[in-house]
Amino acid sequence: MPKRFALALVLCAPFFPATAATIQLGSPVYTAMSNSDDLHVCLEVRISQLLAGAQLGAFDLIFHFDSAALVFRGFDFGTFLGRYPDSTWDIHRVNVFDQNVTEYRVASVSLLTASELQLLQPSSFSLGTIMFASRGPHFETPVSVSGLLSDGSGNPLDVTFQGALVQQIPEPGPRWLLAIGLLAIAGARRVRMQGSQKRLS
Amino acid sequence: MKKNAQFLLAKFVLFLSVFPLIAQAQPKLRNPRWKVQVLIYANIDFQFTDSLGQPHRFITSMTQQEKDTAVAAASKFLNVDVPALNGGSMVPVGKVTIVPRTLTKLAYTGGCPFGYWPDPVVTAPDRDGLAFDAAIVIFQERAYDQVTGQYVYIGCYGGLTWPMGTGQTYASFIFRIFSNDQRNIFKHEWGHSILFYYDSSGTAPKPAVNNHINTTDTRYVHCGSGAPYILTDDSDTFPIPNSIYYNQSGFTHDYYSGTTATPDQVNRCLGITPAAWASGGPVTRPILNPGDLDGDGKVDIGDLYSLMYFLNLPANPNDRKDLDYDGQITILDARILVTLCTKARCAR
Repeated sequence: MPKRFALALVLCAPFFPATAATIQLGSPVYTAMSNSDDLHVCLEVRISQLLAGAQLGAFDLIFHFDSAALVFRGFDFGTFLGRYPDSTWDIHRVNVFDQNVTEYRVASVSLLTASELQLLQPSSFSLGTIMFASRGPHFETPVSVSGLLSDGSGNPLDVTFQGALVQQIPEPGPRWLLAIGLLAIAGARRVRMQGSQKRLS
Repeated sequence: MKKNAQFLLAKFVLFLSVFPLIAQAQPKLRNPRWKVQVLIYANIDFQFTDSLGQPHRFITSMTQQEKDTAVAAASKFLNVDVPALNGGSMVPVGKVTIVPRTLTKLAYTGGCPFGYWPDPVVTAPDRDGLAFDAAIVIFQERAYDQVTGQYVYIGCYGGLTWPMGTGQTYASFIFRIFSNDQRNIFKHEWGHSILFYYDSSGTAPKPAVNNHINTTDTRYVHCGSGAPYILTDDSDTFPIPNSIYYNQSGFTHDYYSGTTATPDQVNRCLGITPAAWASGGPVTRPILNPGDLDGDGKVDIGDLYSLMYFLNLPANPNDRKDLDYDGQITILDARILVTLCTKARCAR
């Protein structure tokens, strides 16, 4: 009996709708810039816990960040709403050349049908990646996201948003790493040469 | 036999679980949404001389808590009660404003010695009849008479509604009625206003419903079944199914959704039918050829471009881009447009 009850609960799950989805910024991925202590910072924008039977048909997201710590560099769209320009219409709503931007807006509308989206989308997938450059070597700054999401029919999805904390882990810069490496090689060479001189004498 | 019953039960449970998915896959019927302007008059300073020659000066103001209560009651009425009462045929869009000016004029409506009220003329400067289908006015009726030094109640009714023809509807209320999570007066007075409008526009079946139901000369039953109503006021605390104001069934529910009838013709459904709601309101009208923004007879990517250009801007009254009638051009409108495209992928 408890098994049957559990089965009924699982089958009837759509009757107890919770939040339809969660939009989450993933852990930051840092890449060193050449000739600089600054970093490239990439954050994956992920939708998860999309309710069974629901599809994502369009999104309009706003990212907020501190322009004193981060410079907006770009946004790469994912492919789970289709591919631009044949099956999605994507727009960036920011002047990417403005260094003082603190808000970035991006929107995408799928041109696929609700049933095509149903087949294409798992319950969790990537909407895209937002990219920044850091300003200066040491920083810790939040990036938040908000916005409006549509299901396949144009109805709003009830969404929970989770931002991310971007922080540069103090680590030696690339030039220091190079210098340490060269010193290590030189040191090893010297030890080897001293060893061979001892054998000769 | 037992196995068969178990199989049927399993099939039923499976159907229950799949039903919402089937329902979700269908685009929802989108009827025009009434734009409702809620005006809360927190301050009144009104002078008059009564019939005995006694001057009066009534001064009122609302506390922040009272303003919050009025806002919450109006919001709950528009967001919860109206869609429930009309069976989902129309979800209004409300804009609540605490009117900053002090009301210095009131109209005499009678009924008691201090029967003064903010009628449509008095509130005309604050109402926008070109942008809003309906006006709801709430005012603080407990006043201090500065001349006699006494507290009095102005207005002699809980609510009053004026017939406005096919123009912006007008329903008005005293504040006191919202003190106990009691929104029946909203349901009743706004019911008057929508019945007046749809009677004037001729889009609801005739005869128009008189919502002063009783057991003698104004009797109604549920359309089709002929079931009578329980003529008792219910409330959130004491809900009574099939009563006058119960959200899911009963008299108000039935005339808001066009499923009430007179006892002599139980199959003639009266009230505001889904077709009447679909005809829109005094301002908001259904969009003809929805999605075809450039008027070329088809919906394609060009129409989507046009819409996206205005993304996140407020919609004008009867804006053809506002496909969900919520007063804003949003990504939801864009996606609705895609579902209306003539060819696959919105090809030209």
